[in-house]
Amino acid sequence: MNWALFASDLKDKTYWLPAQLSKEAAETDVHFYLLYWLNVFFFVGIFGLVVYFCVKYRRRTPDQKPLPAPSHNTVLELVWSIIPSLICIGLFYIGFMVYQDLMQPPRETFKINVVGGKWNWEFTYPQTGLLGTSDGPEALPELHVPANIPIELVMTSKDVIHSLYIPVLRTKKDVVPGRYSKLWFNAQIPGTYNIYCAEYCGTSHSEMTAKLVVHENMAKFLEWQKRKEQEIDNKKPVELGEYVWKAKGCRGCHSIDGSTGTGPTFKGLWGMPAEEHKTWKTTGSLTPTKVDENYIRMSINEPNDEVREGFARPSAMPSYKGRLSDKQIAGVIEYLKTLGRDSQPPVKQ
Amino acid sequence: MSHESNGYPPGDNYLNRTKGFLSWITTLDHKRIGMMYLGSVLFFFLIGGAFAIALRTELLTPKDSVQMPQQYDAKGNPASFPKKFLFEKDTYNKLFTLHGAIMVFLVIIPSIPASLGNFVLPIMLGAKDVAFPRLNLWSYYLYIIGTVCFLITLAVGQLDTGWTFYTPYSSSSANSNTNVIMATMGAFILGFSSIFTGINFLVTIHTMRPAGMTWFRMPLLLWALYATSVIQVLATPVLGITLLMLIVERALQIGIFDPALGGDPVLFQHFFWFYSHPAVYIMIVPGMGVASELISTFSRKTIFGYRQIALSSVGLALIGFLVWGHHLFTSTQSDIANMIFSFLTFFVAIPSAIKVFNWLATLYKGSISFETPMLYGLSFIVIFTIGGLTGLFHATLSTSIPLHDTYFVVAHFHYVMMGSALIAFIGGIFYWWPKMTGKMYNDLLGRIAAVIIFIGFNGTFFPQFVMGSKGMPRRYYNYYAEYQPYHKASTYSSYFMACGFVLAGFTLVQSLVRGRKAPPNPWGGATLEWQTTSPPPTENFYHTPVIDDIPYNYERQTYLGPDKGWKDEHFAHEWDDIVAHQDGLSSTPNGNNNKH
Repeated sequence: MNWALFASDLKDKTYWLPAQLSKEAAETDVHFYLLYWLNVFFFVGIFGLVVYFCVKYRRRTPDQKPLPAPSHNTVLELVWSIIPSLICIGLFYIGFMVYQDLMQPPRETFKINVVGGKWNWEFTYPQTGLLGTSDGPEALPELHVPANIPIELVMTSKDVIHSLYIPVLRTKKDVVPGRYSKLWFNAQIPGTYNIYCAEYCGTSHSEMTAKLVVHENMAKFLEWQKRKEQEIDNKKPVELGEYVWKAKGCRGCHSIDGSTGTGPTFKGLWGMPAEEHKTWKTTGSLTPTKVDENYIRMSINEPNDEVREGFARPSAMPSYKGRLSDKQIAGVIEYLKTLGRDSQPPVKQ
Repeated sequence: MSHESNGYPPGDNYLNRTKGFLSWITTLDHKRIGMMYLGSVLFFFLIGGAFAIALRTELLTPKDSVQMPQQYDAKGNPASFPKKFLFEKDTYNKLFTLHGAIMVFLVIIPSIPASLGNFVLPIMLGAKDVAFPRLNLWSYYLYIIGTVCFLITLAVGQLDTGWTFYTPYSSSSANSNTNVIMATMGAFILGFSSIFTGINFLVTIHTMRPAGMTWFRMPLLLWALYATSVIQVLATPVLGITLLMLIVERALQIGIFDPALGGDPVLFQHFFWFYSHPAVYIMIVPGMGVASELISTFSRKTIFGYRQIALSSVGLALIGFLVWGHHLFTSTQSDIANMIFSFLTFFVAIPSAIKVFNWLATLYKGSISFETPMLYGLSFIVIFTIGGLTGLFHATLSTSIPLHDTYFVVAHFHYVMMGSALIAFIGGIFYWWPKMTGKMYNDLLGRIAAVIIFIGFNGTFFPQFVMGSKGMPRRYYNYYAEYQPYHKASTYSSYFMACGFVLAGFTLVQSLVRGRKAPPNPWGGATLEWQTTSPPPTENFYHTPVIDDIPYNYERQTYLGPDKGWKDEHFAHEWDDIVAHQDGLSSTPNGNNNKH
């Protein structure tokens, strides 16, 4: 496939398809339109004949007899068996060839780790050192990549099967717990694009979206990463806590407006008197528990040790042990304080 | 020989032979069992359809952005998320799960085989009943027990896994708030119902063909039901075992599919689709059989390429077993497996294409009339053509990857399962309705309903192809606003289609109240079920039929007018008997015949 032929079409959207971001996407689209026109050809032919026969051979009197016609024709039957078979074998061949391109990464790739979990994506960059960022300032998780460099995602899930789907790259791969799946692409046009979860994963499946941010080149990508690192490091504890709440998937289950989700709301949680806040201990007893620093830290690291009354047991929450630093946990505690009773809500500038 | 000496009084039929609720639920008559299936299937079609309308209504509105950052009001208090149209995320997930599960397990799979098939298979064959009438009733009871499991799930409102029950979502209580055990138990029991019906049909076709009914003199619906039964008997046990393993894992915490317990979640998908892909052919092959009957009858022409159609049904049944892996192209299945499954998948296209070409050739130079059933038959050809052709996108690996799990797939399988299988089912109901009930319906109303359904169907599902190719994933409660125009078109068309179904239902109900009496053969059908009274007697025939020709010989028929329908010369000696019984007369001038 001559890539240059499609280079000028890169930014164009067609009626059926979104923008193309890679050579492989362009090749896939050629197949899409090949199949599309094949569909149109056969459909128009068949539909046209149905209409034509229905008009021409309609019964005009109730006992009209059909015109003499054979009820069987071996040559014709062979023709319409063999020609579709040949078409199908051809389609299989070209489809498989491009599929190989779509699935086989080049030898040298820039690797990014992806962890899918209900209902959030976490992207970390082991080769350049940025750990655990999964969001931008406006809270959608962002996958940042440099343009024109082959990227390989090494993906796994912490709970159920998800599927990372990037429409503009025409590619997707399931993200399966207990194993690593890989997906590679080479995005060629800087910009921001949608990422979806394509495998149904529960309550907020449709909100498990993210953004793909393609930087112009590696230098721009590293610039972004540096900004990002400073930004996270320099946050005030409360802001860091809010950042963690957004970025680490807490808000999928814990609201801050008082509504009950899969987990308890954070509103009014801090400082809740023990008699109003009963939890199930591992021993099986229901005990009043005071919400304080130790309770929060335990809930983050070992969510199953004490499960609040009225919520699923065992807890639906995965353990965050080792995935939040002490500084981040301290930030979460500060953030919870601002949402607690007798506290003022955070003032937004 | 007088009619009384045949052992039953004039005017007697399977509906009025015995009376009362008990006589129905203990009946061994395949026709009554078929009618009970029909009633149940239509009831669940109503429920599943209502869920679909609710889902589509919810999808009228997107959220501006799928995942919204927290908003704050002027005082700095966090504002709540804007509510969507009808209901919350969890409710949506439960509704699409139940819509899928009900439509697949309770409606489409039993639709043509268990309801229409039960009614017409023995009559078309020339037999008095199926081979194992008690097993037949038992399979209906199992169907009812299975539906009760689903109804309990429905009442408790706790199933949100999607009808595919993918692990580990379905197998771990920490992952989903579901009543998976009850629902899978239901599917397990329904599976046995399906197996028993399949065995019954296979044995009936093998052992109960009367003299002269050779394999290649069987109507094509029987070939289709035969192929379907083979799939039911061979594939359904795999589903049963799989669901049993799911229950064992969930109840006993033994790791089979759940990686947290040491299992393999993708293994479940292999097991599940090993049944559920052949199940697609359980759904569509009988529909093709019905379409063959409709197209031949209403063209008054022998079906073109009879043997090719018959054998392509069997071909579909066999190839259908080898292609399940195309549901797993993105699942981390190996590239080699993907290659093999892609290659094999293309070969289900061939028998399907062959059938379409044969139907076209049947229309050619026919004498085509457009009664209600034929409109469904023609709808079937058109919609199935689209459904089949768009399948090529999913067999071709390069295009399958982006389109997987998008609305493109949703549209494709609705074109096949709803637009084809269910349309054929509805067409079959209208075709055999006079035979089943002895009443003619208002054909004009029926035709209007058929046209509305055809237009509404295409309006509902065609836009889904477009949004799917643009990337809209399936099973999404929220979506980006750019997809909204397509969702709107789809939803409004679905209302229109629903009106068509309501009108069709009204037409049938009205016929029971006000319809005129049906003649034995109102359409000029040449198969055996038209050579007996409408409705047939409990034993189906007054004389054991003798078959000496292909099932689609229309040359021997004469038209007697709209009230009397068609008369077949081959059965001329029985005609007076049939008419006499049909009219409830005790004798007719030529009523005595001693030929049998």
